[in-house]
Amino acid sequence: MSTRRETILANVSNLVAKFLYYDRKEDDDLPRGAIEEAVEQGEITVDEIVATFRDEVAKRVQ
Amino acid sequence: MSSTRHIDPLALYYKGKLVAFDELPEYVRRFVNTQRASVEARYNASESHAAVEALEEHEVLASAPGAAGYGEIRANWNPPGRMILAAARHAAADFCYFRRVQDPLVPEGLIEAAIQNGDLTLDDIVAAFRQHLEHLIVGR
Repeated sequence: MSTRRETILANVSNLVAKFLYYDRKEDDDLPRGAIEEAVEQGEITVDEIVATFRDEVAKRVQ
Repeated sequence: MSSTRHIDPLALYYKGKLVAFDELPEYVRRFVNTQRASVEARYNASESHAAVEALEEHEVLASAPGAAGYGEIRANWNPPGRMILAAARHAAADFCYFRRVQDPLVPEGLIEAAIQNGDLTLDDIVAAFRQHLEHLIVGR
């Protein structure tokens, strides 16, 4: 049986898939592959994305 | 109300002025996020469309495709970078609130309780987010 910690962290994995793939399927402005392409081309970094995610989560859970 | 209209999720009128979503006052963004969940459930629309549907319904903001000033704001948005950061904020809101509404395994309040009890930390959550993101972007 999964611990509460494991369950929550598994949820994060699903969230990333949603962020990169599932939410992008019907997004004309930010279609599937656009985030990966922007990172590869240096328009944005993983650090910037993670920092934004962290700030928003921190505001909501603390 | 149609959910198929093209509405730019980041171009909204607020007090008569066209404003990018992430530049709206915090309480307005919170209102948008709060309304989004119920409208999504009703219309099964994308988050961005649903948010604006909610705003229009409450007559607080109006979407503004084609409005005067729209092109200028879009030109200054630095897309896709800005839209990606907006999407990251939406992902965080999903994680903390919207997905909790119908998730029996991680219901509303469980994440906060787990952090308070020391089961995990904000750093653990962020590290997991980074790990999966890097794996799917860099490692592909």
